[in-house]
Amino acid sequence: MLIYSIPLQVLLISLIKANITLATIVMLTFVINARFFLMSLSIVHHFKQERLIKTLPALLILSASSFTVSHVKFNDKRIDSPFKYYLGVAFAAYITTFIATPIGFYIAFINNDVVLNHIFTIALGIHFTALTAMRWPNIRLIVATVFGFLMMPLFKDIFSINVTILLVPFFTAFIMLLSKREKLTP
Amino acid sequence: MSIEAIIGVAALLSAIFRVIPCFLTKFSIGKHQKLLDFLDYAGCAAIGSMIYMTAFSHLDQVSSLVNQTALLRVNALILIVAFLLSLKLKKPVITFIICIITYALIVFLLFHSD
Repeated sequence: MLIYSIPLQVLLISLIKANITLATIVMLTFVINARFFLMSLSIVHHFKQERLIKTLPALLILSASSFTVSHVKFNDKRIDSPFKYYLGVAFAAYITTFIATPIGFYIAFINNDVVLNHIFTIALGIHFTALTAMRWPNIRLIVATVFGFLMMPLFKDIFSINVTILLVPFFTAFIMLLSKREKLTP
Repeated sequence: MSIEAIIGVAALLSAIFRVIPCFLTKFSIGKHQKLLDFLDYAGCAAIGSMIYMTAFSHLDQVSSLVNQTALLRVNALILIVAFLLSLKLKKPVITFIICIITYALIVFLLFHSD
């Protein structure tokens, strides 16, 4: 209950009848949590000055929202301590989760209003899109986000959705790095 | 395995995957600029793929094909507007509020126009 891994837990519950093994759980966890692994890896080097005993529990409450909000602001010179900034964002998001989860459950499963369902589904997309614009003038990070967005429908037709979520970030990052190297070469 | 054990193992592994990077900093990842760039791009691409998932992946559940096409256009348009408005205003919270109210009105009209 204290860890952000609802999609994984829901998927596992649906697979219980298939007598899943520990190896299956490990593989599914890796595939579904790969993006959090990448996000965690991406922000942890900003916390180098912090002690391990502080960063360990702090990363447990990492979510896609807290990653995006913090990551956008890390290069802002007005931020004295990236770790404290992240902690403020992540903790606020964590508290909000406890309030939002029952509301989301009510709307999706009890009330089942089509209009409300669509509004709540798109909310996250609008939130992330608005935050992506805040990365300006770092155009390459915006291009990486747009590229990740555009690759999804292409990869989705070839691979399963869980594999797609894992592949798209790696593929995009690889292409972005290649394009950067070509630009530097005379 | 019982349901509790499966959920417990999944939660534990999810937690482990999040904290492993803490130990990787000991290997001086910060000194490798290309690796840092790669991780930044990968993080941004993961966000891009999440935006796609939240905006478009559920549309095939909409029963009416007319509504499905209309929602596809509205969702694409609202994302473009959100990006441009946030870029112009530099206030993501205000952008979010404006966009979500506009979207709510459009979707309400779309589903209740019949």
